[in-house]
Amino acid sequence: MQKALFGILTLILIYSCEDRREFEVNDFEKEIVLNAIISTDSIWNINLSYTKSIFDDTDFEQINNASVKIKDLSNGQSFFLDTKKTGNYTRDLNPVEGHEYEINVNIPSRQEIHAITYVPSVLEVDVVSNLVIDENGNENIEIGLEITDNPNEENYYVWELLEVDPKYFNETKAAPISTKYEEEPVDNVTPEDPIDTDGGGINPGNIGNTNGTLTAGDIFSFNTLQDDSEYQSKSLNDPSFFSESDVKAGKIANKLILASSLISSINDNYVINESGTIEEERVPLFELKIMAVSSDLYDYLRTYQQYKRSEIINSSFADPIIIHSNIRNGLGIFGGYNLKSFYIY
Amino acid sequence: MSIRCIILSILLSSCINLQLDSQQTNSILDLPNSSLTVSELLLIIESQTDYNFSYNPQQIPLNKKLKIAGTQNSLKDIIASIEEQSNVSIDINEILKRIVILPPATFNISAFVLDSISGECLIGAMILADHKFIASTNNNGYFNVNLDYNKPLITIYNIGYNQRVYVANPYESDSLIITLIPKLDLNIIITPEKDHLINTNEYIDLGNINNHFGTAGTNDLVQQIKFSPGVSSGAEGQNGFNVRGGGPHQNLILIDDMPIYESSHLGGLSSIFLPSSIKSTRFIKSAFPARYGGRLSSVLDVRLKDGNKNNYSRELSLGLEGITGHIDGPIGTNTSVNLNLRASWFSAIASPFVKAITNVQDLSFRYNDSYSKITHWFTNTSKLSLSAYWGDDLVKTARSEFDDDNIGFQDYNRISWGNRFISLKWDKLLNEKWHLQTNIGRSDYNYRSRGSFNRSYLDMDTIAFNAFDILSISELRNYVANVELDYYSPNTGQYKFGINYTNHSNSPTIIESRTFVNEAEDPVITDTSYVADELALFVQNKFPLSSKVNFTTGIRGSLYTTNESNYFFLEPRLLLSYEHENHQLNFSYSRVSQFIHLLSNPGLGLPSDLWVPSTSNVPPEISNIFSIDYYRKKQNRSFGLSLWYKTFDNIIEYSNPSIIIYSLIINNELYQVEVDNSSWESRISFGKGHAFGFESFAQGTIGSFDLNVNYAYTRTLRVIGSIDGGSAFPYKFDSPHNISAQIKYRVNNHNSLVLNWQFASGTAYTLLDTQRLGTDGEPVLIPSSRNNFRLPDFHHLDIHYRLEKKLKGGRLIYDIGIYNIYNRLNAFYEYLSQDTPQGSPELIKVSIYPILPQFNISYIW
Repeated sequence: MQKALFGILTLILIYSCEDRREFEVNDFEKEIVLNAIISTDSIWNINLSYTKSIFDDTDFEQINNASVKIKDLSNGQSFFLDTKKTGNYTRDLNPVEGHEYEINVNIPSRQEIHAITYVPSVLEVDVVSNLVIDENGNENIEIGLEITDNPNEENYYVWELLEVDPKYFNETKAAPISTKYEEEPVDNVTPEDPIDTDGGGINPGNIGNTNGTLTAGDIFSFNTLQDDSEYQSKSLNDPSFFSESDVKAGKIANKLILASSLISSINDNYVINESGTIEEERVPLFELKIMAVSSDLYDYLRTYQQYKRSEIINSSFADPIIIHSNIRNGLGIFGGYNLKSFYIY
Repeated sequence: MSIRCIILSILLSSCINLQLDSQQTNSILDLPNSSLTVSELLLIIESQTDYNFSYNPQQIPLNKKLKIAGTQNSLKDIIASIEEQSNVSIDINEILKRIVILPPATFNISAFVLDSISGECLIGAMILADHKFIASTNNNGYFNVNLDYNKPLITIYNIGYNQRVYVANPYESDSLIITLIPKLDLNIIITPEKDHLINTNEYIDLGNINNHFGTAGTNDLVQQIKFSPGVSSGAEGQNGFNVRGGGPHQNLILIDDMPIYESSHLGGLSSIFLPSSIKSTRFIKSAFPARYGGRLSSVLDVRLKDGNKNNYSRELSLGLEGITGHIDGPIGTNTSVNLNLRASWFSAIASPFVKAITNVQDLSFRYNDSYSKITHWFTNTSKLSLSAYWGDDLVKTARSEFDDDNIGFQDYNRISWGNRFISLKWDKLLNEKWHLQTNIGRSDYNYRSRGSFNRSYLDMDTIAFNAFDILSISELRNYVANVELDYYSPNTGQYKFGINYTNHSNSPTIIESRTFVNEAEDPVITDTSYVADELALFVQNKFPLSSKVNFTTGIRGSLYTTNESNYFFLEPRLLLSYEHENHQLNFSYSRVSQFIHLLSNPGLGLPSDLWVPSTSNVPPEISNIFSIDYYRKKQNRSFGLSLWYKTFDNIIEYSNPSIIIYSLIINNELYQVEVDNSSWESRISFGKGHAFGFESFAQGTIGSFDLNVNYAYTRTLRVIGSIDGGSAFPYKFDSPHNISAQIKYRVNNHNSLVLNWQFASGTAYTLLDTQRLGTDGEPVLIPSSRNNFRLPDFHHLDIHYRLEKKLKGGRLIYDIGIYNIYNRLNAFYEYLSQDTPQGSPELIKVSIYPILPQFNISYIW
């Protein structure tokens, strides 16, 4: 029973001792890893590699002799990807929103690798922010999200709030990550009605309630999903996850509160011009990213986040985090997503 | 006269005779009153009719008083009354006018078996006739058997008592009281003296508990059970015990028929049981009687003493663990009490040292137990008992460390758990054939943990704060009502009928916030509460198929209802037993269901044992258990072998260990992983499993040495969801080889030396031993398979010396021992370290119990 074990943890304080022991990984068999996260905004690009033992400090062995076939299950068309000799396989085509794809990878003397995913539809989301004053008189920002559910899909969402660095922000370089996406500036003092939670939405504040000071979320960021990203903004929270697979229509609402302490700690949202005066330029405080993801990618991201957070933990006392995989006869992830980005001033 | 006339005359004569006979037996006799002895009735019949009697006065209960309906009865009715009430056979010879009274071929005897000193009833005492085991006493020490008239000798045997040979009287109508004299010698020989006494039941020798010690150094029932073949302790520091491939939560633990959810204190330092409070203990690993249900792997049925009916008995023990007190005795003529109390004082001893060498400001860990029972006898055959238990564990730590700039951390953790119950029990012998046993009660289990962490640190030259607070609660409440009837039939064996009703209320809760609350009251929470009803009907029957073969059969129908779902299971229980001379062979099959699951946080950090109910989405756990057991006993040696196989269905686990909670503090850093218990049903994976094994034991006495060796090979495997592609993997408690050995040297009648050695293969766990490429281009560690590694083997040798001194009015007992005498550093857990001097990954083994002294002194008077 775990609780007793915890009691024992107390005893460890008294007279525990540690002893090192070496171990071996017997009969290690390398497996194939397929990583492919697709969206409508990037061409087909997947990566194939082999696993290696924990004792192996060489580079991962890339797989360049594979035959990779993609089949669009929504229209029946198939095509092959071309190898780039770095374990990557590409084709100058973009996945299509709402389509389901099957991937088959054949490697000599190996079982066929197989997976299926889909690219979720474009998000219909409204974001409203309000300045609210708490009981202590502090000014907090309350951000409400309202997503119109696509009744034909299971719904898995991930959102992340990033601090905007004014040094990088200007009208032409606004939101480098999000230039491909629709931007919807949101006024920071918009006395709108509170977001309703019809459609069985998640209770406000239940997920991602950032009340309090946040830990810098350098554990996982959306940036990691995008190869062409040069901009590394500071994530204020680890990505938060929510799904409403039971909801087939209606609204899904969520709410987060940014505490005044957080706001004040990043209130450098102004630009100092060459003359040393402060420009009253309208620079956003935060960037809010909301992503609709396939169910497998949702599980992958969740477990990947948990893994990163618990990387230090690997003991017989704790079952380790197992990163989700939907690759049959192999490991890795084949998932799709669609992303929207918003600025909050 | 023709032949035809002769025949006709004879027939006519016969008819006239019959008419006359009928007239004779229907003749009305006058009786002086309706209550007469057999001899008085015989005299009246002889005086008022032409009949005379023939009998052996040694074989007829002449002085037995009979009840006759009315004062005027026919001879026929009076004869029938004598036959029925005196258990004799009567033959009437009309020609000679002689009535012959013969003893019966068989007769029935029933009795209560009691301790001669305390008057406690003895549960599970074996009754032997003609050198064969024929019955055992029930939970009230009662038995009822049929004996051959020519073989009225029975032998009554109970572990820890001098066996007694009793000459049964066929004409004893009332239930007897047979007393056995306890062996007060501490060095009880473990094995029975007689060859024919084969270990046919599961009652544990409580005298033998003196040879088993918990880590804390006191006599320990659970430790004794762990010495049984097929029972594994898992690993160092583990609470509870694992039986034949099951988990600790799959053991049905009953104290006076009330369910208990935790049998050990603080990592197995000590069990919750106080030997001085216990009357009997029954431990069952297979062939579950139908009266037991609700857990898959074993039954531990503990009965508390009613209390000494004649004199006061007291015991006071002091040791490194704490203080234990016991008293039982009579209150008035028909009432007795049994009171027990234990309080640990580890904390008081250890805390100052810990505080002196660490940054711990507050440290306390304690546990308490309190047993009380009061029993009132209305008659010898009717009693009412009120039992109660209260026990709890508490671990509390508080640390803080801040520098001059107010940079540092504060950490507060508190965890408590405990069982408690109260039960009212009424037992009544309705007549020689029917015995009623009832009880009602309430049992509670509460588990509560609270962890708070507050950290201040420098972030870009400004002080930032990090706080975390988590509360985990699991509250179980059971209302229990049981009615059982024992029926003793001379022709079809012994039956037990019963109804068990339990109302379950279950509130698993985990809440978390980032608002640090330092040792404040727990916040008000609204949690999810589940209420369910469980109703079970059962019948079991034991009857002999032949002189060598016994068949015990039973069936239990279990209905479980919640607002949204109903489950009904029929659970057959079968045991076929063949006994010949010193050999016994058993075949058994049991089907068992379990309606409550345990979801344990499989991770580091604050634990959260959440007992969760079966729901419409989470079906009950089911197990099928097959077992073949062979026993042989000769003189003071016994030997046993078992082969068993069992299946598990609908077992549950969190789909991913991260799903529940982790707030892990390593090197003053908080590693929070995830807190989300909002919908545990959607976060679990279902699976099934199977387990199989082989067990053997050998016991014997050679001179002053008692030897006891057990070996078990056990494998237990699971298939959960899509883990490992649906392949079977070892259960975390899978420990293939288990050996326990004991040598006891009886120095003299009062002193003994005991050596105990235990060995268990290391349990399985999942080690991340493989690297794969993550989507961010960084390596990610994964396991090659679930539970792919094992802890090092667990073993330790303990030595104990017991010295008893008789004092005026009492006995003084010293127990001195050393746990883990060769200082084996068994693994409490291991973790992977990649930051090693050699540069290659290593495992770091953490141990908690090195060599430890043990000391306890008891005074009994």
